[in-house]
Amino acid sequence: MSVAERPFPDEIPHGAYGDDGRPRFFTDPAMDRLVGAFVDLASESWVLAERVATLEELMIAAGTPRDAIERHRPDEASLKRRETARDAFVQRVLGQLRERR
Amino acid sequence: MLVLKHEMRPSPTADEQARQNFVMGLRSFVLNDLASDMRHAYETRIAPAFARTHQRPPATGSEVHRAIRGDAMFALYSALRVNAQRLVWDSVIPVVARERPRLESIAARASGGDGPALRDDFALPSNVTAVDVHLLPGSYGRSDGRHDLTTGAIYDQGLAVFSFGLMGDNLDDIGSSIARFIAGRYPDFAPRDILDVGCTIGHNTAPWARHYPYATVTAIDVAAPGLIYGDARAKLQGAGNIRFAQMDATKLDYPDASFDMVFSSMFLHELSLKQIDAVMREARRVLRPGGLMLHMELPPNPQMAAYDAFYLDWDAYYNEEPFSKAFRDQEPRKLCAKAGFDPANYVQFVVPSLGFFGAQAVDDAAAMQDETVLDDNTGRLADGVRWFCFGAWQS
Repeated sequence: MSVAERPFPDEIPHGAYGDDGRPRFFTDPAMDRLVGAFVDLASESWVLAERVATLEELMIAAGTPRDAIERHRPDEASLKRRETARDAFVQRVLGQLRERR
Repeated sequence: MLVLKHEMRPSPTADEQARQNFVMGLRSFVLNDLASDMRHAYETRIAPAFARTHQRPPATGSEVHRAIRGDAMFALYSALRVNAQRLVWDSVIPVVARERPRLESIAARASGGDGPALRDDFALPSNVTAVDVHLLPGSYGRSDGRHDLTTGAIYDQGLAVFSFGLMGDNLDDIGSSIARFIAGRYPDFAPRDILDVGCTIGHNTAPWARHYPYATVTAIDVAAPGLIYGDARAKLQGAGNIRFAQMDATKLDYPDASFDMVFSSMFLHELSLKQIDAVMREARRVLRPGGLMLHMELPPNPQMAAYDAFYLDWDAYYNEEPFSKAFRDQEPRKLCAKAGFDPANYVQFVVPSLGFFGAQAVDDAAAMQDETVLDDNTGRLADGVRWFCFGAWQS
Protein backbone atom coordinates (compact mmCIF):
# COMPACT_ATOMS: atom_id res chain seq x y z
CA MET A 1 0.00 0.00 0.00
CA SER A 2 1.45 3.39 -0.86
CA VAL A 3 2.01 5.76 2.04
CA ALA A 4 0.39 8.62 0.12
CA GLU A 5 -2.96 6.79 -0.13
CA ARG A 6 -2.88 5.35 3.36
CA PRO A 7 -5.21 6.85 5.97
CA PHE A 8 -3.61 7.91 9.26
CA PRO A 9 -5.17 8.71 12.65
CA ASP A 10 -5.39 12.28 13.92
CA GLU A 11 -3.07 13.84 16.50
CA ILE A 12 0.12 12.18 15.27
CA PRO A 13 3.06 13.08 17.51
CA HIS A 14 6.00 14.71 15.75
CA GLY A 15 8.39 12.15 14.27
CA ALA A 16 6.08 9.15 14.78
CA TYR A 17 6.81 7.81 11.27
CA GLY A 18 9.79 7.71 8.95
CA ASP A 19 9.60 8.76 5.29
CA ASP A 20 8.61 5.18 4.42
CA GLY A 21 5.49 5.46 6.60
CA ARG A 22 6.81 2.95 9.11
CA PRO A 23 6.72 3.71 12.82
CA ARG A 24 9.79 5.30 14.39
CA PHE A 25 10.35 5.04 18.12
CA PHE A 26 13.99 6.02 18.67
CA THR A 27 15.77 9.33 18.12
CA ASP A 28 18.31 7.49 15.99
CA PRO A 29 16.51 5.53 13.24
CA ALA A 30 19.33 2.96 13.26
CA MET A 31 18.02 1.87 16.66
CA ASP A 32 14.61 0.96 15.18
CA ARG A 33 16.33 -1.33 12.70
CA LEU A 34 18.62 -2.77 15.35
CA VAL A 35 15.65 -3.79 17.49
CA GLY A 36 14.20 -5.61 14.46
CA ALA A 37 17.45 -7.47 13.89
CA PHE A 38 17.72 -8.25 17.60
CA VAL A 39 14.22 -9.74 17.67
CA ASP A 40 14.96 -11.84 14.58
CA LEU A 41 18.17 -13.04 16.18
CA ALA A 42 16.34 -14.02 19.34
CA SER A 43 13.74 -15.87 17.24
CA GLU A 44 16.37 -17.78 15.27
CA SER A 45 18.20 -18.65 18.49
CA TRP A 46 15.04 -20.15 19.90
CA VAL A 47 14.39 -22.13 16.71
CA LEU A 48 17.88 -23.57 17.04
CA ALA A 49 17.44 -24.30 20.72
CA GLU A 50 14.31 -26.34 19.98
CA ARG A 51 16.05 -28.16 17.14
CA VAL A 52 19.06 -28.99 19.28
CA ALA A 53 16.79 -30.25 22.05
CA THR A 54 15.03 -32.52 19.54
CA LEU A 55 18.30 -33.77 18.07
CA GLU A 56 19.76 -34.58 21.47
CA GLU A 57 16.63 -36.42 22.53
CA LEU A 58 16.68 -38.47 19.29
CA MET A 59 20.41 -39.06 19.51
CA ILE A 60 20.33 -40.33 23.05
CA ALA A 61 17.24 -42.42 22.33
CA ALA A 62 19.19 -44.02 19.43
CA GLY A 63 22.09 -44.89 21.72
CA THR A 64 24.64 -42.19 20.75
CA PRO A 65 26.76 -41.14 23.71
CA ARG A 66 26.19 -37.60 25.05
CA ASP A 67 29.76 -36.50 24.22
CA ALA A 68 29.53 -37.49 20.52
CA ILE A 69 28.81 -33.89 19.49
CA GLU A 70 32.02 -32.60 21.04
CA ARG A 71 34.07 -35.28 19.31
CA HIS A 72 32.49 -34.78 15.85
CA ARG A 73 34.49 -33.15 12.98
CA PRO A 74 32.42 -32.13 9.89
CA ASP A 75 33.66 -33.26 6.45
CA GLU A 76 34.28 -31.00 3.42
CA ALA A 77 30.74 -31.36 2.01
CA SER A 78 29.26 -30.50 5.37
CA LEU A 79 31.50 -27.44 5.71
CA LYS A 80 30.32 -26.23 2.28
CA ARG A 81 26.66 -26.70 3.20
CA ARG A 82 27.23 -24.85 6.46
CA GLU A 83 28.81 -21.90 4.68
CA THR A 84 25.81 -21.51 2.35
CA ALA A 85 23.40 -21.86 5.25
CA ARG A 86 25.38 -19.29 7.27
CA ASP A 87 25.10 -16.70 4.50
CA ALA A 88 21.32 -17.22 4.36
CA PHE A 89 21.20 -16.98 8.16
CA VAL A 90 23.01 -13.63 8.18
CA GLN A 91 20.63 -12.28 5.53
CA ARG A 92 17.60 -13.43 7.49
CA VAL A 93 18.75 -12.25 10.90
CA LEU A 94 20.33 -8.95 9.94
CA GLY A 95 17.93 -8.08 7.11
CA GLN A 96 16.22 -5.48 9.31
CA LEU A 97 19.35 -3.33 9.23
CA ARG A 98 19.01 -2.71 5.49
CA GLU A 99 17.57 0.45 3.97
CA ARG A 100 14.08 -0.08 2.51
CA ARG A 101 14.03 0.93 -1.16
CA MET B 1 1.42 -23.85 21.55
CA LEU B 2 -2.15 -23.65 20.30
CA VAL B 3 -3.41 -26.30 17.87
CA LEU B 4 -6.40 -25.29 15.75
CA LYS B 5 -9.48 -27.39 16.49
CA HIS B 6 -10.39 -28.45 12.97
CA GLU B 7 -9.07 -30.40 10.01
CA MET B 8 -7.54 -27.33 8.32
CA ARG B 9 -5.03 -27.03 11.16
CA PRO B 10 -1.54 -26.53 9.75
CA SER B 11 1.33 -29.01 9.74
CA PRO B 12 4.29 -26.72 10.37
CA THR B 13 7.84 -28.01 10.14
CA ALA B 14 9.77 -28.22 13.40
CA ASP B 15 11.46 -24.88 12.70
CA GLU B 16 8.17 -23.19 11.75
CA GLN B 17 6.57 -24.46 14.94
CA ALA B 18 9.52 -23.19 16.96
CA ARG B 19 9.20 -19.75 15.31
CA GLN B 20 5.51 -19.61 16.26
CA ASN B 21 6.35 -20.72 19.79
CA PHE B 22 8.87 -17.91 20.05
CA VAL B 23 6.41 -15.24 18.85
CA MET B 24 3.83 -16.33 21.43
CA GLY B 25 6.42 -16.11 24.19
CA LEU B 26 7.61 -12.75 22.88
CA ARG B 27 4.10 -11.30 22.72
CA SER B 28 3.26 -12.48 26.20
CA PHE B 29 6.49 -10.86 27.46
CA VAL B 30 5.74 -7.57 25.65
CA LEU B 31 2.04 -7.35 26.54
CA ASN B 32 2.38 -8.44 30.16
CA ASP B 33 5.90 -7.63 31.40
CA LEU B 34 6.99 -4.72 29.21
CA ALA B 35 3.49 -3.21 29.33
CA SER B 36 3.71 -3.27 33.10
CA ASP B 37 7.17 -1.63 32.99
CA MET B 38 5.88 1.07 30.64
CA ARG B 39 2.99 1.83 32.98
CA HIS B 40 5.45 2.05 35.86
CA ALA B 41 7.64 4.42 33.83
CA TYR B 42 4.57 6.55 33.13
CA GLU B 43 3.51 6.75 36.75
CA THR B 44 6.96 7.36 38.20
CA ARG B 45 8.68 9.52 35.53
CA ILE B 46 6.46 10.71 32.74
CA ALA B 47 3.27 11.82 34.50
CA PRO B 48 5.21 13.63 37.29
CA ALA B 49 7.37 15.45 34.71
CA PHE B 50 4.23 16.45 32.79
CA ALA B 51 2.59 17.67 36.00
CA ARG B 52 5.61 19.83 36.89
CA THR B 53 5.32 21.63 33.54
CA HIS B 54 1.53 21.82 33.27
CA GLN B 55 0.44 21.86 36.92
CA ARG B 56 -1.93 18.96 36.14
CA PRO B 57 -1.67 15.33 35.01
CA PRO B 58 -2.19 14.39 31.32
CA ALA B 59 -5.91 14.58 30.60
CA THR B 60 -6.24 12.56 27.39
CA GLY B 61 -4.67 9.59 25.65
CA SER B 62 -3.11 11.95 23.10
CA GLU B 63 -1.44 13.97 25.86
CA VAL B 64 -0.04 10.77 27.35
CA HIS B 65 1.12 9.68 23.89
CA ARG B 66 3.02 12.93 23.26
CA ALA B 67 4.52 12.91 26.75
CA ILE B 68 5.64 9.27 26.67
CA ARG B 69 7.10 9.20 23.18
CA GLY B 70 10.58 10.32 24.21
CA ASP B 71 10.85 7.69 26.93
CA ALA B 72 13.10 4.66 26.41
CA MET B 73 10.53 2.28 27.86
CA PHE B 74 7.89 3.43 25.36
CA ALA B 75 10.36 3.06 22.50
CA LEU B 76 11.41 -0.45 23.52
CA TYR B 77 7.86 -1.66 24.22
CA SER B 78 6.67 -0.26 20.89
CA ALA B 79 9.58 -1.43 18.76
CA LEU B 80 9.30 -4.94 20.18
CA ARG B 81 5.53 -4.99 19.65
CA VAL B 82 5.83 -3.90 16.02
CA ASN B 83 8.45 -6.55 15.39
CA ALA B 84 6.47 -9.22 17.22
CA GLN B 85 3.51 -8.39 14.96
CA ARG B 86 5.75 -8.74 11.90
CA LEU B 87 6.87 -12.15 13.17
CA VAL B 88 3.24 -13.25 13.75
CA TRP B 89 2.69 -13.08 9.99
CA ASP B 90 6.21 -14.23 9.06
CA SER B 91 5.68 -17.36 11.15
CA VAL B 92 2.43 -18.42 9.44
CA ILE B 93 2.52 -17.11 5.84
CA PRO B 94 5.07 -19.69 4.58
CA VAL B 95 3.09 -22.50 6.22
CA VAL B 96 -0.13 -21.45 4.49
CA ALA B 97 1.64 -20.92 1.16
CA ARG B 98 3.03 -24.47 1.26
CA GLU B 99 -0.18 -26.08 2.43
CA ARG B 100 -2.61 -24.14 0.27
CA PRO B 101 -3.55 -27.06 -2.05
CA ARG B 102 -4.33 -29.28 0.93
CA LEU B 103 -6.38 -26.56 2.68
CA GLU B 104 -8.35 -25.78 -0.49
CA SER B 105 -9.09 -29.44 -1.04
CA ILE B 106 -10.36 -29.87 2.54
CA ALA B 107 -12.41 -26.68 2.23
CA ALA B 108 -13.97 -27.76 -1.07
CA ARG B 109 -14.96 -31.12 0.42
CA ALA B 110 -16.30 -29.53 3.64
CA SER B 111 -18.36 -26.94 1.79
CA GLY B 112 -19.62 -29.61 -0.59
CA GLY B 113 -20.62 -27.20 -3.36
CA ASP B 114 -22.65 -25.20 -0.84
CA GLY B 115 -20.03 -22.59 0.00
CA PRO B 116 -20.43 -18.90 0.83
CA ALA B 117 -22.47 -16.60 -1.40
CA LEU B 118 -19.74 -14.68 -3.26
CA ARG B 119 -20.02 -12.01 -5.92
CA ASP B 120 -17.71 -11.62 -8.88
CA ASP B 121 -18.39 -7.88 -9.12
CA PHE B 122 -17.80 -7.09 -5.47
CA ALA B 123 -15.65 -3.99 -4.89
CA LEU B 124 -13.70 -3.98 -1.62
CA PRO B 125 -14.07 -0.79 0.45
CA SER B 126 -10.99 1.42 0.82
CA ASN B 127 -10.68 0.80 4.56
CA VAL B 128 -9.63 -2.74 3.58
CA THR B 129 -7.58 -1.97 0.45
CA ALA B 130 -5.69 1.19 1.51
CA VAL B 131 -4.23 -0.21 4.73
CA ASP B 132 -2.16 -3.26 5.64
CA VAL B 133 -4.55 -3.89 8.56
CA HIS B 134 -2.70 -5.31 11.58
CA LEU B 135 0.47 -4.98 9.44
CA LEU B 136 -0.63 -8.02 7.41
CA PRO B 137 1.13 -7.56 4.05
CA GLY B 138 -1.58 -6.97 1.44
CA SER B 139 -4.35 -6.91 4.07
CA TYR B 140 -7.33 -9.25 4.26
CA GLY B 141 -9.07 -8.76 0.93
CA ARG B 142 -6.25 -10.05 -1.27
CA SER B 143 -7.43 -12.90 -3.49
CA ASP B 144 -6.21 -14.49 -6.71
CA GLY B 145 -9.40 -16.30 -7.57
CA ARG B 146 -12.65 -17.88 -6.47
CA HIS B 147 -11.01 -20.62 -4.41
CA ASP B 148 -8.38 -18.49 -2.70
CA LEU B 149 -8.75 -18.92 1.06
CA THR B 150 -5.17 -18.04 1.97
CA THR B 151 -5.81 -14.84 3.94
CA GLY B 152 -8.54 -16.69 5.85
CA ALA B 153 -6.07 -19.41 6.79
CA ILE B 154 -3.40 -16.82 7.58
CA TYR B 155 -5.87 -15.03 9.84
CA ASP B 156 -6.84 -18.21 11.72
CA GLN B 157 -3.25 -19.36 12.22
CA GLY B 158 -2.00 -15.82 12.84
CA LEU B 159 -4.69 -15.14 15.45
CA ALA B 160 -3.70 -18.33 17.28
CA VAL B 161 -0.11 -17.06 17.50
CA PHE B 162 -1.17 -13.45 18.15
CA SER B 163 -3.50 -14.27 21.04
CA PHE B 164 -1.22 -16.88 22.72
CA GLY B 165 -4.28 -18.57 24.22
CA LEU B 166 -6.11 -15.45 25.43
CA MET B 167 -8.81 -15.80 22.75
CA GLY B 168 -9.50 -19.41 23.70
CA ASP B 169 -8.27 -22.65 22.19
CA ASN B 170 -10.81 -22.27 19.36
CA LEU B 171 -10.23 -18.48 19.07
CA ASP B 172 -13.85 -17.89 20.00
CA ASP B 173 -13.53 -16.58 23.55
CA ILE B 174 -15.12 -13.25 22.61
CA GLY B 175 -18.21 -14.85 21.05
CA SER B 176 -18.42 -17.62 23.67
CA SER B 177 -18.12 -15.25 26.64
CA ILE B 178 -20.63 -12.73 25.28
CA ALA B 179 -23.18 -15.27 23.99
CA ARG B 180 -23.16 -16.98 27.39
CA PHE B 181 -23.49 -13.61 29.13
CA ILE B 182 -26.44 -12.50 26.96
CA ALA B 183 -28.21 -15.84 27.36
CA GLY B 184 -27.75 -15.52 31.14
CA ARG B 185 -28.73 -11.85 31.41
CA TYR B 186 -31.75 -12.13 29.09
CA PRO B 187 -33.16 -15.66 29.47
CA ASP B 188 -36.35 -14.69 27.60
CA PHE B 189 -34.45 -13.39 24.56
CA ALA B 190 -34.88 -16.04 21.85
CA PRO B 191 -33.54 -14.76 18.53
CA ARG B 192 -34.66 -16.71 15.45
CA ASP B 193 -32.46 -14.87 12.95
CA ILE B 194 -28.97 -13.69 13.90
CA LEU B 195 -26.64 -11.62 11.70
CA ASP B 196 -22.90 -11.31 12.37
CA VAL B 197 -21.39 -8.41 10.41
CA GLY B 198 -17.67 -8.18 9.59
CA CYS B 199 -17.26 -11.82 10.62
CA THR B 200 -13.83 -12.50 8.98
CA ILE B 201 -13.63 -16.32 9.38
CA GLY B 202 -16.72 -16.62 11.60
CA HIS B 203 -14.70 -17.67 14.66
CA ASN B 204 -16.95 -15.58 16.94
CA THR B 205 -20.12 -16.38 14.99
CA ALA B 206 -20.28 -20.05 15.90
CA PRO B 207 -20.91 -19.49 19.66
CA TRP B 208 -24.24 -17.79 18.81
CA ALA B 209 -25.23 -20.79 16.70
CA ARG B 210 -24.40 -23.02 19.69
CA HIS B 211 -26.33 -20.93 22.24
CA TYR B 212 -29.36 -20.52 19.98
CA PRO B 213 -29.37 -23.82 18.03
CA TYR B 214 -32.84 -23.22 16.55
CA ALA B 215 -31.73 -19.87 15.08
CA THR B 216 -30.65 -19.21 11.52
CA VAL B 217 -27.26 -17.51 11.73
CA THR B 218 -25.87 -15.43 8.87
CA ALA B 219 -22.29 -14.16 8.78
CA ILE B 220 -21.18 -11.50 6.32
CA ASP B 221 -17.88 -9.90 5.40
CA VAL B 222 -16.41 -8.04 2.45
CA ALA B 223 -13.34 -10.30 2.14
CA ALA B 224 -13.96 -13.49 0.13
CA PRO B 225 -10.92 -15.53 1.31
CA GLY B 226 -12.08 -15.34 4.93
CA LEU B 227 -15.61 -16.39 3.94
CA ILE B 228 -14.42 -19.39 1.91
CA TYR B 229 -12.21 -20.48 4.76
CA GLY B 230 -14.78 -19.62 7.46
CA ASP B 231 -17.59 -21.52 5.74
CA ALA B 232 -15.45 -24.67 5.63
CA ARG B 233 -14.19 -24.09 9.17
CA ALA B 234 -17.75 -23.83 10.52
CA LYS B 235 -18.87 -26.96 8.67
CA LEU B 236 -15.82 -28.92 9.85
CA GLN B 237 -16.77 -27.96 13.41
CA GLY B 238 -20.39 -29.03 13.02
CA ALA B 239 -21.81 -25.48 12.90
CA GLY B 240 -23.76 -26.14 9.71
CA ASN B 241 -26.51 -23.63 10.51
CA ILE B 242 -24.32 -20.62 9.64
CA ARG B 243 -24.68 -19.08 6.20
CA PHE B 244 -21.74 -17.03 4.93
CA ALA B 245 -22.20 -14.24 2.40
CA GLN B 246 -20.03 -11.53 0.84
CA MET B 247 -21.72 -8.29 1.75
CA ASP B 248 -20.87 -4.81 3.02
CA ALA B 249 -22.37 -4.09 6.45
CA THR B 250 -22.91 -0.46 5.40
CA LYS B 251 -25.40 -1.56 2.71
CA LEU B 252 -27.15 -4.81 3.56
CA ASP B 253 -29.18 -6.71 0.99
CA TYR B 254 -31.79 -7.77 3.56
CA PRO B 255 -35.30 -6.36 3.86
CA ASP B 256 -36.38 -4.26 6.83
CA ALA B 257 -37.11 -6.13 10.08
CA SER B 258 -35.52 -9.44 9.09
CA PHE B 259 -33.26 -10.19 12.11
CA ASP B 260 -33.63 -10.46 15.89
CA MET B 261 -29.98 -9.83 16.54
CA VAL B 262 -27.18 -7.99 14.76
CA PHE B 263 -23.76 -8.72 16.25
CA SER B 264 -20.19 -7.74 15.47
CA SER B 265 -16.87 -8.33 17.17
CA MET B 266 -13.69 -6.29 16.79
CA PHE B 267 -15.20 -4.83 13.62
CA LEU B 268 -16.28 -1.19 14.05
CA HIS B 269 -12.83 0.09 14.99
CA GLU B 270 -11.55 -0.80 11.51
CA LEU B 271 -14.16 1.49 9.89
CA SER B 272 -14.36 5.24 9.29
CA LEU B 273 -16.94 7.15 11.36
CA LYS B 274 -19.06 7.54 8.23
CA GLN B 275 -19.03 3.77 7.71
CA ILE B 276 -19.83 3.17 11.38
CA ASP B 277 -22.90 5.42 11.16
CA ALA B 278 -24.04 3.49 8.09
CA VAL B 279 -23.53 0.11 9.83
CA MET B 280 -25.60 1.29 12.81
CA ARG B 281 -28.41 2.61 10.60
CA GLU B 282 -28.47 -0.62 8.63
CA ALA B 283 -28.53 -2.66 11.84
CA ARG B 284 -31.51 -0.67 13.05
CA ARG B 285 -33.29 -1.07 9.71
CA VAL B 286 -32.95 -4.86 9.56
CA LEU B 287 -33.80 -5.45 13.25
CA ARG B 288 -37.27 -6.54 14.24
CA PRO B 289 -38.99 -4.87 17.22
CA GLY B 290 -37.48 -6.31 20.40
CA GLY B 291 -34.29 -7.20 18.53
CA LEU B 292 -30.79 -6.50 19.82
CA MET B 293 -27.85 -4.79 18.14
CA LEU B 294 -24.63 -5.73 19.97
CA HIS B 295 -21.06 -4.77 19.10
CA MET B 296 -18.08 -6.23 20.93
CA GLU B 297 -15.41 -3.58 20.73
CA LEU B 298 -12.44 -1.85 22.20
CA PRO B 299 -13.69 0.28 25.09
CA PRO B 300 -14.41 3.99 24.52
CA ASN B 301 -11.87 6.67 25.47
CA PRO B 302 -14.42 8.95 27.22
CA GLN B 303 -14.99 6.19 29.78
CA MET B 304 -11.31 5.45 30.38
CA ALA B 305 -8.39 6.92 32.30
CA ALA B 306 -5.96 8.89 30.10
CA TYR B 307 -3.22 6.26 30.29
CA ASP B 308 -5.58 3.38 29.40
CA ALA B 309 -6.90 5.41 26.46
CA PHE B 310 -3.33 5.91 25.23
CA TYR B 311 -2.54 2.23 25.72
CA LEU B 312 -5.39 1.06 23.47
CA ASP B 313 -4.88 3.88 20.94
CA TRP B 314 -1.37 2.53 20.31
CA ASP B 315 -2.72 0.18 17.61
CA ALA B 316 -4.26 3.07 15.67
CA TYR B 317 -0.82 4.61 15.25
CA TYR B 318 1.50 1.62 15.05
CA ASN B 319 -0.53 -1.45 14.00
CA GLU B 320 -2.15 0.12 10.91
CA GLU B 321 -5.61 0.49 12.37
CA PRO B 322 -5.92 4.17 11.52
CA PHE B 323 -9.63 4.52 12.20
CA SER B 324 -9.67 2.99 15.65
CA LYS B 325 -8.78 6.14 17.59
CA ALA B 326 -11.56 8.21 16.02
CA PHE B 327 -14.00 5.40 16.84
CA ARG B 328 -12.72 5.03 20.41
CA ASP B 329 -13.04 8.79 20.92
CA GLN B 330 -16.82 8.46 20.47
CA GLU B 331 -19.34 7.84 23.23
CA PRO B 332 -21.08 4.62 22.02
CA ARG B 333 -24.39 5.72 23.52
CA LYS B 334 -24.39 8.70 21.16
CA LEU B 335 -23.47 6.54 18.13
CA CYS B 336 -26.55 4.38 18.81
CA ALA B 337 -28.80 7.41 19.33
CA LYS B 338 -27.52 8.96 16.09
CA ALA B 339 -28.63 5.81 14.23
CA GLY B 340 -32.14 6.25 15.64
CA PHE B 341 -32.07 3.90 18.62
CA ASP B 342 -33.95 5.14 21.69
CA PRO B 343 -31.26 6.25 24.22
CA ALA B 344 -33.33 4.52 26.94
CA ASN B 345 -32.67 1.23 25.12
CA TYR B 346 -28.88 1.59 25.18
CA VAL B 347 -26.87 -1.20 26.86
CA GLN B 348 -23.20 -1.80 27.55
CA PHE B 349 -21.43 -4.65 29.31
CA VAL B 350 -17.99 -5.70 30.45
CA VAL B 351 -17.89 -9.49 30.17
CA PRO B 352 -15.17 -11.54 31.88
CA SER B 353 -13.26 -13.81 29.50
CA LEU B 354 -14.81 -17.28 29.72
CA GLY B 355 -11.44 -18.91 29.08
CA PHE B 356 -9.54 -16.90 31.67
CA PHE B 357 -12.09 -16.52 34.48
CA GLY B 358 -14.36 -19.55 33.89
CA ALA B 359 -18.10 -20.03 33.34
CA GLN B 360 -19.08 -19.09 36.89
CA ALA B 361 -17.55 -15.61 36.54
CA VAL B 362 -19.52 -15.00 33.32
CA ASP B 363 -22.74 -16.24 34.94
CA ASP B 364 -22.11 -14.07 38.01
CA ALA B 365 -21.55 -11.01 35.81
CA ALA B 366 -24.76 -11.81 33.91
CA ALA B 367 -26.69 -12.03 37.19
CA MET B 368 -25.49 -8.60 38.37
CA GLN B 369 -27.77 -5.82 37.21
CA ASP B 370 -25.72 -2.79 38.29
CA GLU B 371 -23.93 -0.29 36.09
CA THR B 372 -20.95 -1.66 34.19
CA VAL B 373 -17.58 -0.27 35.24
CA LEU B 374 -14.58 -0.38 32.92
CA ASP B 375 -11.21 -1.24 34.41
CA ASP B 376 -7.69 -1.29 32.97
CA ASN B 377 -8.08 -4.92 31.87
CA THR B 378 -11.11 -4.09 29.74
CA GLY B 379 -10.37 -4.75 26.09
CA ARG B 380 -6.68 -5.22 26.80
CA LEU B 381 -5.23 -8.47 25.45
CA ALA B 382 -3.29 -9.67 28.49
CA ASP B 383 -3.93 -11.93 31.46
CA GLY B 384 -7.32 -11.11 33.02
CA VAL B 385 -8.92 -9.65 29.88
CA ARG B 386 -12.57 -8.54 30.00
CA TRP B 387 -14.52 -7.91 26.79
CA PHE B 388 -16.45 -4.66 26.28
CA CYS B 389 -19.65 -4.61 24.27
CA PHE B 390 -22.41 -2.11 23.65
CA GLY B 391 -25.58 -1.78 21.65
CA ALA B 392 -29.29 -1.10 21.85
CA TRP B 393 -32.65 -2.82 21.77
CA GLN B 394 -34.98 -2.05 18.92
CA SER B 395 -38.25 -0.47 20.10
